[in-house]
Amino acid sequence: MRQAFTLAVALVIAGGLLASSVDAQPQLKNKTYHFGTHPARTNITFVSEADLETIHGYTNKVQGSIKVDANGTKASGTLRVGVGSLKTGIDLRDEHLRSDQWLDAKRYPYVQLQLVSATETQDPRKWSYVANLTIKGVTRQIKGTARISAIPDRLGKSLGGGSWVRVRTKFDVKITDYGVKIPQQVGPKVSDTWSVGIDLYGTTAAPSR
Amino acid sequence: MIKLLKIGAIAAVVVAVIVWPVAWYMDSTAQTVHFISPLDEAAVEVNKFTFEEDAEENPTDEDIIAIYGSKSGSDPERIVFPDDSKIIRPDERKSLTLYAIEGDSRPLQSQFVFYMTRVVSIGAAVAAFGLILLLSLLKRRRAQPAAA
Repeated sequence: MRQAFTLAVALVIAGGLLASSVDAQPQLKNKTYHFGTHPARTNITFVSEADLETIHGYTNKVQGSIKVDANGTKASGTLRVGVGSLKTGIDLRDEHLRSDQWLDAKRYPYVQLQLVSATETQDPRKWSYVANLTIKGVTRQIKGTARISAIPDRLGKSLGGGSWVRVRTKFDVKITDYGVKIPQQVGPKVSDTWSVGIDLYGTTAAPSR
Repeated sequence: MIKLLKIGAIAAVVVAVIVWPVAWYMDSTAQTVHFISPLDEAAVEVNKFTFEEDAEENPTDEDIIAIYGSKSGSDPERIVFPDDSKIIRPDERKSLTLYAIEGDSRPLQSQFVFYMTRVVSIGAAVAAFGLILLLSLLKRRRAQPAAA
């Protein structure tokens, strides 16, 4: 009798824990998060590690939104980054990056990431996603895992209006797959694979136009 | 002409050698840092709260870096003459040194200093060798008519 009671209590506790882990971020449900509203909380980095040097590039300008479904387990949306906003720390290098040989900002002013699917994993803070990444007019599919942290509303108030979420992910981009030709003379300075890091705070408060 | 070549050769040898102590001196000012794109103060405060609330038993360096900003690059890097105002030492892990990269400024990397040192040193050594070769040729040529 005692054993049966202990077992029943254990099952109730385990069930409760399981339910809470599955639904650990209920505040994400049925919300649309807008990104790029606060540049100081918008970080997209890209790093090229080559023999001669490591180039650290970044931008804090992004446009787009991500909508989470009513169950809080799936998401869709698009993010766009202006090629003209990419900075590497040297103006001349930024100019080269925008040139037609590299990202061709005149013809292709944006780099775009469109979610094909985004699904919560067993760990509700981690979501696996498939996205179409478009650079220089070439679209290729990428896969990855993003860390999604819903910021409790009591804390989010200090960040500004709306409900807040932080999204972080990393993936590698082989730039030669996107029609970029690395000139021979810069060979040892630039790697053909760039490590991209996305760290964005999104809010449900619609951005001011 | 020979005097000029002698001065050139000596200068090239000096350059080939002296760039190394200069590079080592520069590297002696270097710090090993993790580059981050920093977050604003409000976000850092929120992250500190959530970090404490969700405290994992063994937080990784990445977890701590994420409080302050977005890590750029995979490994820490050595930078020379770092700007102290851009250095962040997290209270959560004093052994970590973060370096905020913002706007158009980037610190000089040791990796780049030593690469340039190698290029300059090898270039100067080749120049010195060429000049010495030329010198000996010229001297031999001058010596030949005298012997004849």
